[in-house]
Amino acid sequence: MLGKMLGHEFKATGRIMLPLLLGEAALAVLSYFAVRFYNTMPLLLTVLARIAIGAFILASVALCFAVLILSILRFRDNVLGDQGYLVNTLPVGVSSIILSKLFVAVFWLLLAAATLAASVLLVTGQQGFNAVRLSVEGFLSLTDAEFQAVFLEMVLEGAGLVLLSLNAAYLSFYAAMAMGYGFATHKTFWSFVSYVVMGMILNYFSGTLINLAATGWEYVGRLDLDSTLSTLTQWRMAAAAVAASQLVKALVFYFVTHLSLKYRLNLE
Amino acid sequence: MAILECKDLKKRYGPTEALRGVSFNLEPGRITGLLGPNGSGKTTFIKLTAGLLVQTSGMLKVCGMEPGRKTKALVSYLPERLDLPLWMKVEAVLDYFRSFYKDFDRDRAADMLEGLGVPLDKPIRALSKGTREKVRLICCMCRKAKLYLLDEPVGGVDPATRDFILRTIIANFDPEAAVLISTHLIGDVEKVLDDVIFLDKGLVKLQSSVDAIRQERGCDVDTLFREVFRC
Amino acid sequence: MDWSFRPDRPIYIQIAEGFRTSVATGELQPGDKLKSTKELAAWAGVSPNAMERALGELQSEGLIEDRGPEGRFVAGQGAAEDIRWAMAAQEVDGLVKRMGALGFGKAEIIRLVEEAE
Repeated sequence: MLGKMLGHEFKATGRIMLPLLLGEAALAVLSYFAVRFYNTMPLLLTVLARIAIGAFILASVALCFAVLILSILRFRDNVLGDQGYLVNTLPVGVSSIILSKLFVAVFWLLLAAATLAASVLLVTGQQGFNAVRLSVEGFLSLTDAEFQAVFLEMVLEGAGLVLLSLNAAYLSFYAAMAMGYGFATHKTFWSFVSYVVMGMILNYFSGTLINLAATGWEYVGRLDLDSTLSTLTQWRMAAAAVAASQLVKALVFYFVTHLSLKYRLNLE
Repeated sequence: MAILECKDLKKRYGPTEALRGVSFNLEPGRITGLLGPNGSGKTTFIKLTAGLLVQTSGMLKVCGMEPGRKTKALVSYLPERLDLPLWMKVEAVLDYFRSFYKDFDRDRAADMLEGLGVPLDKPIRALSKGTREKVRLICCMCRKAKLYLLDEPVGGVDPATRDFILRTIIANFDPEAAVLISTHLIGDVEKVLDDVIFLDKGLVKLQSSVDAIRQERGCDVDTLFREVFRC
Repeated sequence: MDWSFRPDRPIYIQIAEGFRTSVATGELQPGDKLKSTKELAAWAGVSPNAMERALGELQSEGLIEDRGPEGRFVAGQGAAEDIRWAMAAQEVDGLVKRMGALGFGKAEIIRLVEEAE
């Protein structure tokens, strides 16, 4: 069930996302050549080169917003708009509808981030690539295996936290829209209101966890590279606190979305 | 077993009571018209049965089950609005329906569309309004469901399309399924109906077979409707 | 068959009447195979239940034969002829009554018939 929904979701969103990402990559390639051969170009081409690089920068910034906005609009139009008549009468659970949208949205965001990173790396050319290579080599040579293992764990846990936070963030948008669109009029207004109100309530009640996370991050901020063991415990505490708080948020937003779609669905 | 049962069904939206206690059953093998003026609660009732709304109180069962995931597999719903993604190609729409509905007969749907001259590789966006509605109707009727819910299927279409829609409903008749057609324009739809239910301001005002109305009152349903709902 | 139904009588009765007329006029010949109930209903634009009820009545009258898997057929010559005469008798009875109400006797009716187009 979820698998089927995921498949359709990828197909439906990919037709817009893939061209966007390919466009970004294409501009990156163009900019790479623009940068590389700038000094040996005739005057006319340097103008085009600057336009290409400018376009690349604009596109990169736009991509960040576009991915987020497109996923939000996708949920709104497909579940809460006219297509909702089709989607909400499918013989699938509400959970499949929500989770398929969520996972695909997070996927595109991660893919876009990767594309962006690769594009920037490409355009900054040899210098960018060298900078990265030197950092990695320096890191590997200046630290011992034990520290590297700790660092790896921190990176992986950090990635997990980012993933969890992304899910929670998208779910917060879904929940806000599902709530807001339950009203007969001024749906967008009520969606904004719901978003703010839910955010405020959650932050108030997860205060304890947030404080824990805050103190946790404080410790991380005072990271001392020579005493990794105690830092590791501190990091784990902080990470656990952030993870718990994000998990609570994600669950709350998920249930608000689920219940709203079940009981407050108000298609035109 | 009755395909649809409802008893004292009520639905309230804030201050408005759209349904104020609706009770009736739909038996298999009958085509029933749910008739009433705009705002009488027809669409609310259909949405409740389709599983898009939850009632405020009262009983509603489809094939003995409350509306949910299982009943959605047994109900084929044609909404008043077009719910197909405009960017989807016609053949993709057929694949979509086949993917989610085990009882969808994709070949029959494709044959019907080809018979109408609808190009399968065009997106919905490229089709005229009437053609889009025919595509959606074909997707609805090419299932072997137990309950067909048609919300205003012939509103706002030209006579030729209306004939096609009614003929398609007839041709798809299944003695083990029930068909509920909701409309406020009776006209030619009456010939297709076996039974009618008049809905007025959220309550059932009349429930009868079309034959009984004609036999006992000497007038057709259209005339009776105008009488009953005269402003 | 007649497509325009009158509003004051059940559809299935009118379908049966239309069918009888078709047989009487020879539009439907004895031995003609009838389409399936659903096809006939779709063609007439009526509910299959109404069509089935009409066909059932015609069958019990003997106008239609149900040969099971082979389908339904218009009955043999005899039944058609009976219908023709029965409908004619009905028409004439009606005519005599209506003309009688206008004050015309049978002899006058016969003269009017001979003068008619």
